[in-house]
Amino acid sequence: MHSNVQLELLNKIVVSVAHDLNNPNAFIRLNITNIRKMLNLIAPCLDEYEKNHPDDTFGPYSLSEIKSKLYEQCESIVYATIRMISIVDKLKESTKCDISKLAEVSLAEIASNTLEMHHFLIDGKVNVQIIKEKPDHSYIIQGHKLHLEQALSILFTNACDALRERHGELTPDKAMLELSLMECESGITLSLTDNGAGMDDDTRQKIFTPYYTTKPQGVGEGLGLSLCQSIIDSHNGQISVESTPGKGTTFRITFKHQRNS
Amino acid sequence: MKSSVIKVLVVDDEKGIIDAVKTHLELDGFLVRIANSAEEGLELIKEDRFHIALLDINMPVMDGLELLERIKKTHGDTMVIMMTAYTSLSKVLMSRINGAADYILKPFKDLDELDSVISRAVEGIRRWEIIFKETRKVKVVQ
Repeated sequence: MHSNVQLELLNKIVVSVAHDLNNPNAFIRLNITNIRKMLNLIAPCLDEYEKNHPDDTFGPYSLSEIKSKLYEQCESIVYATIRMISIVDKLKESTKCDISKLAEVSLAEIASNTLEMHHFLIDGKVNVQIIKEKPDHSYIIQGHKLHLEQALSILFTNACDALRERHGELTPDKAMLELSLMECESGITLSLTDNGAGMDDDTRQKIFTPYYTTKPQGVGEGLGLSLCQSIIDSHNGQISVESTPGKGTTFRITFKHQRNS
Repeated sequence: MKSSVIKVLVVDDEKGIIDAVKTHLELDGFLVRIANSAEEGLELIKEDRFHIALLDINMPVMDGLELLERIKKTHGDTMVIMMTAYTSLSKVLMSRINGAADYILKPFKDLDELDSVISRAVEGIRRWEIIFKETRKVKVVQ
């Protein structure tokens, strides 16, 4: 019951955030398309100018370099807005699910979808290792795909915060995340290890308590890990944490096999 | 798309969006005027004849549905396209009854969608222009 109320609250927040993100995203898309069209219009004049003034530079660049950079950067922005649409769609999709309906889900797929959704947090910033001893189809449980993705997303976001807290600006040579999947006789374990700031025993014991947060006021509401635990509980799983201050943290989620139950 | 003489009115209380839509349509060769409210839109309608009107449905004071009715009373041949968020779909159906030619959902996921809605409207306008020219020819012959 507790977890359903929290998931309902999360769904409401997600719908509202998705709506709020779509508007500025459409605004960026519209404007960048306009900028690209206007660039096309003035391109012949720029070419003509460069032909007549081949030695002119603007800052460190020649005119043709500036032109090609402008085009490249427009493309990057368009690509980013398309990614944002896809992320918002995934978020919206996640709110349409019924918690009571469980299906066979692949933890390997959930892990890879979650990584994809956090691409902007980790690409070129964090060295991510994925360790799987068996093929993807070995990590199947009865579960709720989108809620499990939400749970893993929370762990991911927290791990990235812990990495920044220890290392400052993230680079792949300093910041490390290891996501591992292991299957044994009793069940499947998914672990996420970071080499971030870590936490002391006192903090570790409180992190699953609702509204407990170590983040600055206005940054964290203290609901993430409590919600994550609720989702794992609703899948009859167990979540545990090991941490060493200054070295890092490992979250371990174990789902028991349900084949014979 | 040949669109040099097509005049478009865009009415929306989100200034950022209408400025961007204006530039987008101008770059495609349309003549565009914008209004930040339905009342301002009505004033522009009195001053000029527009082939196409893009109206946001949810606006304070007078909404897009009322503006649609007012436009249709005096400018029945203006092709009105309603713009709305996904949450106001029942209002889009109402606008259909009141003479809207088409609709577009906001926020625009893809500008191609905006372009194709405008294209369809332009095609309709061109088709009616053919009839208009033919009837004038008939009158001259008579």
